[in-house]
Amino acid sequence: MIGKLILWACIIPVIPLIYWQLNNETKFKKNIALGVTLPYVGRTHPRTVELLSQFRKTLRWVCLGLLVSAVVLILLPVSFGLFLTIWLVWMDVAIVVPVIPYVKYHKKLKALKQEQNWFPQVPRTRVVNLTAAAQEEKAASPVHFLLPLVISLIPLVWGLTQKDWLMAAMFLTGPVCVLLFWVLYRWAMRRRAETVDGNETLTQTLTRIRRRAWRRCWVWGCWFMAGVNLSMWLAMFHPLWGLVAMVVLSVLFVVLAVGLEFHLRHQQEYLTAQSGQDSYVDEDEKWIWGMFYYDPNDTHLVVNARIGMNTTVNLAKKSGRVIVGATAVLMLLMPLFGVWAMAEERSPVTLTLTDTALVARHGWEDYEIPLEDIDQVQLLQEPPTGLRRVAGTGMDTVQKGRYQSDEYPKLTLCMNPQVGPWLLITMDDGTVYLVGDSQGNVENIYQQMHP
Amino acid sequence: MLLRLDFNSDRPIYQQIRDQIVVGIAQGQLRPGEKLPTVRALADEAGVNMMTVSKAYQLLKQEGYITTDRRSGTVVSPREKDGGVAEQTVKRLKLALSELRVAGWSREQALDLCRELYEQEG
Repeated sequence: MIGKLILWACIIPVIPLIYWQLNNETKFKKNIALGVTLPYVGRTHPRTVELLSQFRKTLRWVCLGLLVSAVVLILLPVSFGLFLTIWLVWMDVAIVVPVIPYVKYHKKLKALKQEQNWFPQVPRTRVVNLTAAAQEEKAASPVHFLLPLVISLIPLVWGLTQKDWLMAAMFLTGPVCVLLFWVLYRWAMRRRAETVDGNETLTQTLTRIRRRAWRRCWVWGCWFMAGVNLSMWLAMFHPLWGLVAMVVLSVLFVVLAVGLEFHLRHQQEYLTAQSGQDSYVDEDEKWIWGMFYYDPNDTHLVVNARIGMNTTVNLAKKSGRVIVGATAVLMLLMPLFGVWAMAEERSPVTLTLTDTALVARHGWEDYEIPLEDIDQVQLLQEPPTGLRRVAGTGMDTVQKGRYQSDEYPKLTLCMNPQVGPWLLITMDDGTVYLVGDSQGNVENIYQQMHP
Repeated sequence: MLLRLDFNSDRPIYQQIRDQIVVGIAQGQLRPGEKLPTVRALADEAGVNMMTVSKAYQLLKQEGYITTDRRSGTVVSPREKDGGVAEQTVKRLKLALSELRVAGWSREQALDLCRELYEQEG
């Protein structure tokens, strides 16, 4: 039940986040609302106001419906695998459904724009800010990235000194992510200026605040990954504290990143409140449904999202289509992960003794233990105390992979924790296995090994 | 200063960049000594190939509108009073005047238009 509650708590914030983000799209920023660029006069037009209000109302109902369904689904008395499958399907639905009214009202607003002929004097051109391009961007000091890099390296160095290659590989994730974030930050600094109209000062300010938010986001991401690495290290010695640290870090990072996005949106709204009265930039024709960028004349693959600090890809490029297509396919295939979890929890753990080896099997995985290398075999009626997973599967009906316990720092498991007894096997090289059988066949095998 | 690039126009993009920078200089939006973006920065900003920007800059440099310096990069050249006019400009002006004549414009009408446009361009 705790696992289900944690999963629920991780997924449920998606709804308020989607609601806030889409609801925020109705506030004019850079002359854009619901992905449609309107002049100043169009913003306060009664029909514009009415359409935006109707969208907000529809969005409220959609999000409320999703929230109610989430509360009902948590009460379903099903296995973890089925629960996970249901939630992953729900997640797909929760991401797609609120976008439907967005597209509907985007089209209505666009039709109104066409009807009222709300277009700038020089349409269908790309506005390039020569002054902004001439300004040299001062990159963040390398110290901002080097410090978290050094911190994230500490657990890795520990793993290497212990000659624990699995742990070292896990702890490598932190430094790799820090380096990746650093590279992405540097790369993203060469983005287009935020030109809204002919006001140079406004362009400079909008560009500066966006780049600052972008820089902060990556720097915070680096510190987050360094913290995650330290938490994973801490979890090896104090599992509960490690978990608490991980949860606190994740919540903190999400709150800061979301706060940063909304703060930037608020600044964009405030700074461009009076824009669109004279000449202004209108690039609507390059944005499908106001959200997908398509410009065959643009050499860029990654471009700024219109609002906030996010980025998107150019669908006119083949690589852009591949990225978006792959993301969509991955999203749609997400529920298959739940199906795999169901198969995992339902398939039994079997233990068989051959002439040369003891074989523990679960699903597609085999743990073959050569009999000649076995030093000692013990029959356990209770599993070792303080058993916790390091890497592998941990479900109600199966535990397999790398574990540790209070007594054994390294254990390889393949067993059903609900069906005992279990065999604790120590090999000549010190490797320790804990294996079992879902049919309770362990005692027979133990007798055969010790006639 | 804003450049407006029309990708549907028959006029090549490098030519549009060149023309609008010249207009910017004439109108005083770009002052003598003012720094222009690097080829890479402008290509990034405009979402066009670096060769396109490079071609526009080469043209501007040949015509004397900009100069490139190792230390200060690409800058707008100082305006020369009674400076020479590129042969290409004279040719284009001749062509435009011929077109006006064919269209039946008188000398006064053509000069009035020139005067008006000259004033507009600052």
